[in-house]
Amino acid sequence: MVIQGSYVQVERIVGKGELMTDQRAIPISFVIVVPMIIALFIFFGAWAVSVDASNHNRELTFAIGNRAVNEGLRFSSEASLQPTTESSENIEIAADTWWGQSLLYACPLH
Amino acid sequence: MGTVALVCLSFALKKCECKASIKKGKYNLASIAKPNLKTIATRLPGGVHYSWVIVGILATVQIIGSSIGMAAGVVVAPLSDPEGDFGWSIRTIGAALMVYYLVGAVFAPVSGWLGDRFGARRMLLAGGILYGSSMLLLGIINKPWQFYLTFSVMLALTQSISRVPLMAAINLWFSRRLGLGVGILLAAGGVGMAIMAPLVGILIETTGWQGTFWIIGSAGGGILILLTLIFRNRPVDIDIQPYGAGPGDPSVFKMTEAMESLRIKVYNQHIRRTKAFWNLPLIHGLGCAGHGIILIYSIPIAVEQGISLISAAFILSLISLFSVGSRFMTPIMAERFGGKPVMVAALFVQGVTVFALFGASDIWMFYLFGVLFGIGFGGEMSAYMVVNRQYFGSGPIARTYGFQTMGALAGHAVATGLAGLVIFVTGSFGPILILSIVFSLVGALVVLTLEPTHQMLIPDWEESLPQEARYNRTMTAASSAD
Repeated sequence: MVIQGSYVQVERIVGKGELMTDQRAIPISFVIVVPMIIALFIFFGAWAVSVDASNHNRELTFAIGNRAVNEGLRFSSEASLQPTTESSENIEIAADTWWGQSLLYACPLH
Repeated sequence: MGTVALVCLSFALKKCECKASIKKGKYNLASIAKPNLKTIATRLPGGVHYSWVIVGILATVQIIGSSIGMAAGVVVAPLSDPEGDFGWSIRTIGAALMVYYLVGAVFAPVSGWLGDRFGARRMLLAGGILYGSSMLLLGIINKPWQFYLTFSVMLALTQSISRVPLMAAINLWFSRRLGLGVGILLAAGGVGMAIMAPLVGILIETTGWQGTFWIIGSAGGGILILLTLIFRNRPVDIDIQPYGAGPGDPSVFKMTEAMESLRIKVYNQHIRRTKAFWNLPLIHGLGCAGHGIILIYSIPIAVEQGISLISAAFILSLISLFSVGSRFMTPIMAERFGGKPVMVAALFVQGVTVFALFGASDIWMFYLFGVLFGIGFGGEMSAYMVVNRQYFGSGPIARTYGFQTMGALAGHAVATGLAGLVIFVTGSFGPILILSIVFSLVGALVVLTLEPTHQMLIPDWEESLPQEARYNRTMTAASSAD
């Protein structure tokens, strides 16, 4: 695969060993933005794993829904509106997991 | 009993299609060169074109389909309630929601391909069966893996079908006024969200978990399956031309299955060679990442400012409500003024209104934000069908639209995951607001790099087809026959 300007030439073998060149107009904006988002994921993921490893009381989670910004706080029910404290027992440390190690390995700043 | 009914229904559908094919000379190209204009449309009251019936059907599909998305938000509380039947952790539920987005993203192009290959009508039948069975099963779950299967996989597939082939189907029904048709569909989706959210909440309160999803599944699935009786894939299936087709437009007619497949293949090959094919999913992804962060975190941000959860939840209602107007108007404006400036404007409004959250402390500020952000949010998602028409013409667009939906759902997955990580490491909502603004404004910048929307990018794609597979050839034949 060769990037020429805003085009990418894809070479593939078709039929009986015949080499076919297909020009695909993958725009430069796509080539820049998508890897940057992936890099952001790796950077923040590795940072989160580091924070998680240095402070066992923090639980690494992809915060979704009504998770409050202060760690350990979440709403048990929308109706009751009573925040409850998450248990810190049995929490796996992200740095010990395969994906945690992968993030640390992939991030150039770690 | 239900299975028998479905088999009978499938058989009836197939029988109708066979009869229609034979009647209209599906396998004899010469006999259908001149379209029969004695149509079902002329028999509708007031001379209403059948395209508007299709809009009504697809709008109903969007309303029912939107209940899946709303269910995602509403089910968090009962599933996580430690005193309820489930008591699952937020992490378990959150991971299920993320899998839901990812499955939807991966399946979107596949459902588009299926729509092009088998037609939207069969997809509607499949969607109805899948919707009904998923909701019925969701009603009897008691373990997380069952929730993953029914919600994160089965309902994600259903959602994908309703959002891709059943949205793209409208493209074939309109030669003019596509913007109005799309606007009605998208506005219906917005109204559906506004209706279904409280409805699901009330049902859970009154009938419980099982009753809620059995009622929704039976009613929604039943309606979708019944609608297949009056739905048709294309105008030519009932011997009419698309709405607004004039004498200068190529006549559309039925071809053999092999010819149809060839047309779809060549059309998509031409689309894949354009830069817009790559840029449109990217823009949709950035736009969705931009508003996805706000949809998830605007309530926690307001709660952190001391506003009650019930008052804060009204922010989302305002966003939904005010998005209905821009969902309706954006495709119409895109058709009139070109999709590019409208998309830039929508993404810009979506991005800059987020600045208001930095200084928001009183409830009225959050509500004002909800109103303004809703306008940009509704506009961001609504121009794609019209832009597809402007760039690629009126071909089978489901596969391409599937890739754009894939971008959108991937954007939501990014918003869900990345924002959670950023909050975790920084302990603040500020950085994710900046992230949202950056996503929206970068999306607007990428739109600026698109080609002008007033010219088709693949005007000569039919020249790659053999003569007998072209619609333009028929127009010449029909003219000479007249």
